[in-house]
Amino acid sequence: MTDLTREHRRQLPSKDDGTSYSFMIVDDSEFMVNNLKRILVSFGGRVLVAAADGLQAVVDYESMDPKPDIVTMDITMPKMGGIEAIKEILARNPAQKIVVVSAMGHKDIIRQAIVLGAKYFIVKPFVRDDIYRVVRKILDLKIGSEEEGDVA
Amino acid sequence: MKEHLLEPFADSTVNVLRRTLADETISRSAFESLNGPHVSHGMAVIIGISGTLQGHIIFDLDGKTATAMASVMNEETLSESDDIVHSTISELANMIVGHATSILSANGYRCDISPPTFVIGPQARVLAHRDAPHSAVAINTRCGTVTISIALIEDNSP
Repeated sequence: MTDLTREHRRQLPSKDDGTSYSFMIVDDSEFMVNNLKRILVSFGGRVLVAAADGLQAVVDYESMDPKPDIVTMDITMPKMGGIEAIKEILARNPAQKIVVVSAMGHKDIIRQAIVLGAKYFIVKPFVRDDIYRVVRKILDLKIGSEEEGDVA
Repeated sequence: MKEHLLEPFADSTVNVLRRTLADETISRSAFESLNGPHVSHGMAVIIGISGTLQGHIIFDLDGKTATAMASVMNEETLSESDDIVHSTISELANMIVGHATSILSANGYRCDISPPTFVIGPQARVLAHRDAPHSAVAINTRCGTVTISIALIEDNSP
């Protein structure tokens, strides 16, 4: 299979209302924001906002209407860290889906994020497929035949 | 410095670079103790460690290697003066030290890491505490060589 074919197969479907799935990225690294943005857009996602710290994320989140389908959250950031920002965002919208994307693999941080309601964790460094699989899982989309095709 | 404190940094560097650069040719040297300061090749990211281990880790490379790595990771051709090169190399160092300290934490060492400090310019000298001289390892990749210098002491106070 060529890379182009493989790329084409990694696509998120449209939502029931015909729009594409939307994302908010929270990370203090310009590289990581660009990287996540490039990957999510390649799946057909829309990145609505990128915030460089937890405090900015909470401010931006409040003014967003509609809210993003998924928020990606770094843990170690200036002004307000990811754990605090998860608390603040879930206090405003308990149904918000949040995935922690962090290099810190400490078990206690993962446990803390899960207890707060961020049910998914992606450890940096990641590859495109890691993001694709977790996003589909969060959105409760079946991976489907394209993955079987990759294996074959 | 004890080998079990050094190896997680070399292993994490090899694993993270292999994944981020999609480079299976990566190889490493043995650790070598430095008698004097660490002397930078051009771009050095310093990350402080505190907790039951104290000191710092230096992720050091020349500008050409940094630009080549950042270009692969950003999927575009960059020049050394692009700010995104610094951001990419900082994040790379952060991921490597984050992984290594996770391994050390699992082995019973509590360690927190500081935000990265970037030192730009060749021949910059970084001194270690006299009780914790640097131990350095060279990691060879297709993009060039990265040196990891480690200066850590165990804090045995109650």
